[in-house]
Amino acid sequence: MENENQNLDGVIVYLLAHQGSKSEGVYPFLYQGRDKQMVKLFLKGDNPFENKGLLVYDGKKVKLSGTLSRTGTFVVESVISDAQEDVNQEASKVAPEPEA
Amino acid sequence: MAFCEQCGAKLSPGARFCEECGALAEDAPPAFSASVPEQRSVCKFTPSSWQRSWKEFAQHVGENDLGLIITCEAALLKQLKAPSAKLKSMLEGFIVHSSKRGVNYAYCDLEQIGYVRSDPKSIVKFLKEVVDIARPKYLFILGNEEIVDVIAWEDPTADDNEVESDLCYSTLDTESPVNGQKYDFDSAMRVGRLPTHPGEAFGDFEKYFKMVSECSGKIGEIRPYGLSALVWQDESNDEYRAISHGEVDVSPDVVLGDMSGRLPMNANLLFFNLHGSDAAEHWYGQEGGDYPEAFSPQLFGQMKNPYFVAVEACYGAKYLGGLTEGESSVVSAMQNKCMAFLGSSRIAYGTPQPVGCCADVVVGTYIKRLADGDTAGDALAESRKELCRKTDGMDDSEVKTLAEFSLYGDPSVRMNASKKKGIGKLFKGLGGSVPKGLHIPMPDVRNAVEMALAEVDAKIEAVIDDYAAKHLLPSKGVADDMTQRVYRMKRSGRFQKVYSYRAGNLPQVAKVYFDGQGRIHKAIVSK
Repeated sequence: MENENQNLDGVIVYLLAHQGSKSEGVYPFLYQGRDKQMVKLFLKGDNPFENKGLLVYDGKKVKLSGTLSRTGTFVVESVISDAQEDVNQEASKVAPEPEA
Repeated sequence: MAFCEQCGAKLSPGARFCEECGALAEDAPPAFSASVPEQRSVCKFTPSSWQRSWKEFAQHVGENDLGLIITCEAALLKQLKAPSAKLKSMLEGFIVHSSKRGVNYAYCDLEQIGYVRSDPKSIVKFLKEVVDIARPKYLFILGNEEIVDVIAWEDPTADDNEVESDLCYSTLDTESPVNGQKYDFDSAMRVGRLPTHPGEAFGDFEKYFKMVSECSGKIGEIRPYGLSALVWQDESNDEYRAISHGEVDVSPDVVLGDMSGRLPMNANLLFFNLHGSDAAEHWYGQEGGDYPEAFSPQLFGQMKNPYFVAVEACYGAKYLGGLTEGESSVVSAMQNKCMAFLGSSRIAYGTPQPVGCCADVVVGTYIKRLADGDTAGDALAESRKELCRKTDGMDDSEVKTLAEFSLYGDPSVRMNASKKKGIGKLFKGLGGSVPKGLHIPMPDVRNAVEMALAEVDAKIEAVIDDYAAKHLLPSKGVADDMTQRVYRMKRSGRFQKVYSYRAGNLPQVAKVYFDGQGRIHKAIVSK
C-alpha cells in the first residue's frame, strides 16, 4: 500500500539508537526543530544497518522527498536540496538524544 | 516400489508426497475430494442459535481437540476475488482432514454473528462468549489485518511507535500485553493466522490448506538448518543444539549472492537469528560494521520443504500494510510450503552470548518443542511460559517480546505426530461435559501475594507522581488525556514510570527512573 509522498526539511544527524535491542546501531535522523520529534530516515535501496547513502549529508540542512512508513521511518526517495552548509556543530547543540 | 516422478527418489508405501523433493506422488489419493464426507456435527454460527450449535459441536469432539476457524468472509473473498462456494468447499475438505489428525475445527464467519466487527475488542468479546460455552484449544485466523484486525499496543520500550499482535486473541485481554496479570498459557487458546494480501490469488491461498492436510504430522525426519549473524553465533548455537548435532551457518560467511550449495534445499525446520528491518525485505548478517544481505523472501520459493520457520530478526514477521510475497518473508514462506512461521512484528531483543533473553527464549524454546513433536501452538505456549517464568516481574523488553512474537499458519500443525500424543487434555470434554473456558486474565496466587506489596508500591508511586507533577508535566489540561505506566528495566533492575500525554496536538512523553526504595535517578521529557 503506497503512502502519500511528502517533503521534509531539517538537519540530518547520525545517532546511536535502539540501545539494548537486536537493532542497536547508528542511524540517520532528521532534526526538524525543537518542537518536532526527530524522524528516523532510510534512503530507499540502501543497506538499513549501514545507511551509507545519507552519510554525505551528515550534519547538513536538507530537503527530503519520500514517504512515511507505518512504523514511523521516513523512506527517502530523493534529497531535493542541501544547503551545502555544515551545521554539524549547531545540530549537536540542539539535537536531543533519541530515547533508548 | 514407487518412485518420485520429479526427482526419482523412492516413495514410502502410501506416501502422498515425496519426502526428498516434496512433489505430490502420482498415485496419491487426493487431499480434497469434490464430495466431502459429512461431519458428524456441524457448527452453524448464526446470530440466533450459534451458542447451542457450538455447544453441541464441542460435545462431539470425542478424543479430538476442539478448534475454531474465524474470518470475515466477505472481506476475505473480496481480497481473494473468489466466490463463497469455493472457499466453503475448500474449508469443508480441510476440516475433514483436520479431524483425521486430531482437531475438530468449526468455521465461523464473524460477520454472520451480527454484532461482531473485525476489530480486536469486538472479536475478543465474542470469543469470551465462545469459551464460556466451550473453549477451543486452537484458534485459526484467516486473512491479514484488513480481514481480522491485529491489536496495536503502545511500545513499552519506546524503540517502536507501537507493537502489533495477535496475543489478545489468546489471552482474551485487549488492555495490554500483560496488564499486571500472569496468564495461564497452558489453558490459553493457541492462535495462528494465515496472512493474506490484496491481489492474492485464491489458488495460492488454497495451496496452504492442501499442503497442511498432506504434510502435518507426517514429517519422517527432521532436517534442521540455522543461519545466524556472526555476532550472535554463540547464542544461536546454544539454541540450535536443541534440534541439531551441527552448528548454525553464519553471515558474513554466508551472503545472499553466494548461497549456492550453502542452503540445504530440503531443510524442513529453519532457524534464523539475523538482522531485520522495517525498511527492507532482506535479513542481514553482521560482523562489526559490515551487514551483508543474508536471506531474502524469495529464497523460500526455492526451498523444497520449508515447513517450519522460526526467526528472531527484528520485523521478522512483518506483513501489515499489504506487503506481498516479495516484500515479506512470512507471506513468502506461507505461500511456499511453510506450515507454521514464528516471528516478530517489531524490533526484537536478545543477547550475543548464552544465556539468552527475550527473542532467544521464545524462539529457542519453540524450535526445541517443535522438534519434540509439539504442535506449533503448543510450542509457542511453552515459549511464552518460559518467557514469563521469572518471579521478579517482566521488564519492558520482555513485555514487548510477549506481544510481538506471533504464530502464522494453522496452530495445530506439527512435525511428527508419533512423537507426542495426548497433549491438551485440558481442552477436551471430560465425561461428556463441555470444556469450559477461563476468559478473563487468569487469577493466580502471584497476584494475591503482590497485593501485599501494593501498598508500598503505591507510596513510592505517589512520591514519583508528586515529583513529575512539580518538575516534568504541564500544570493544566492533560489530566484527562494522560496515560501512566510503570516498567521494570532489565539491565539496571530499576523502574521507569512513563507519562504519555498531549501538549497541543503533539504527543509527549515524560519518564522518571527510580529504584525500589523510591529514589529518583533520572527524569526526562520528550522534545
